[in-house]
Amino acid sequence: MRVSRVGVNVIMVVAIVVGIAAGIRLYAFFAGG
Amino acid sequence: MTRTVSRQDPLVSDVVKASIGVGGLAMCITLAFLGMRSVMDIGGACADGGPYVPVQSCPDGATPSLLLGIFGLFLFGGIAMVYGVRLGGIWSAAPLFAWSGLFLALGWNFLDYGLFNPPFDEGVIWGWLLCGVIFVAMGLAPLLGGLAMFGDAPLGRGRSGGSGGSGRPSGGRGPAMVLQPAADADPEAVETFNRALASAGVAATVAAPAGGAARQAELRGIASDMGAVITEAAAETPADPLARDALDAGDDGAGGAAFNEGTQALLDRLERLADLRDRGMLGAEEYETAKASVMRELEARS
Repeated sequence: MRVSRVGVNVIMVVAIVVGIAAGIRLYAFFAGG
Repeated sequence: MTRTVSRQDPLVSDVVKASIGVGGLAMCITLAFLGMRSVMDIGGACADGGPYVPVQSCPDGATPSLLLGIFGLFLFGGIAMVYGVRLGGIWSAAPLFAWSGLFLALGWNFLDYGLFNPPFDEGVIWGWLLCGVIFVAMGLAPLLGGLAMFGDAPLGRGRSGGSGGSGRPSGGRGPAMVLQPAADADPEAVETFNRALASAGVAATVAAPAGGAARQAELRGIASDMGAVITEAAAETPADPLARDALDAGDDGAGGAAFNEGTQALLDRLERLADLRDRGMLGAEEYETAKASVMRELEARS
């Protein structure tokens, strides 16, 4: 199964946003917040 | 404009793996960014454990955030590099842009705390300001280079044309990136490297060296010249050591012995030079210069 170019770009941008959100949540977890 | 999925588009498994790499990079940069800010909030230095505890303890979360943020970059950077290349276009350079993201984020921290919001109202902190300028420069350089490289196809397959204005030519997995080797690169080595890239599924290829054919002809000429010199010298020197000694002790005496030893040393040097060249430790020009020097000495002796 293959993904179109537009699909690839959307998935990767979503991955970046999710990664940033995960970093913020993880930092909050480490900081005990 | 409508466009359907075609064989040139990446597999969903590659996209998922690349997204894990890129998303992980974003997470690690965020952790490093926040961890660094928490340390700069308390003056920029801290330590935990041993005799340093009374000096300045680290804020909660700073140590795991920085550790995970920094070392995670290697792990997720590797994943993004391997699978990003399979997607082609700007995603094949994801680690390059992650570098820019990291240095710009940390550079902003230095500028923010050194210039705009210094902790404890200390005024401008010149050390941090300098670090900020250096970090921003280090982040901008690859970013501008990457944008120049992918500027005409920002989210597509690089500079090559193709359907939809952003794809590469149809026909399966063609190279998304073409690398240019050195002019004197060995064509066989380039071919071997390309086969390895293809078998690993990496969408990149190395172009044929510019001077490949000329270089081969040049090397063949050198080998031929050297072969003639060595053959000639060998014909003049008996293989049997006793016969050679007898020859040395004859008409020429001690001078003849010195002559043969010197000639043999020069021939050995020629062979050593050829060996160094074959192993890539000598460039073509360096080899030519050294060889010409030896040949001059050899001719002077004969």
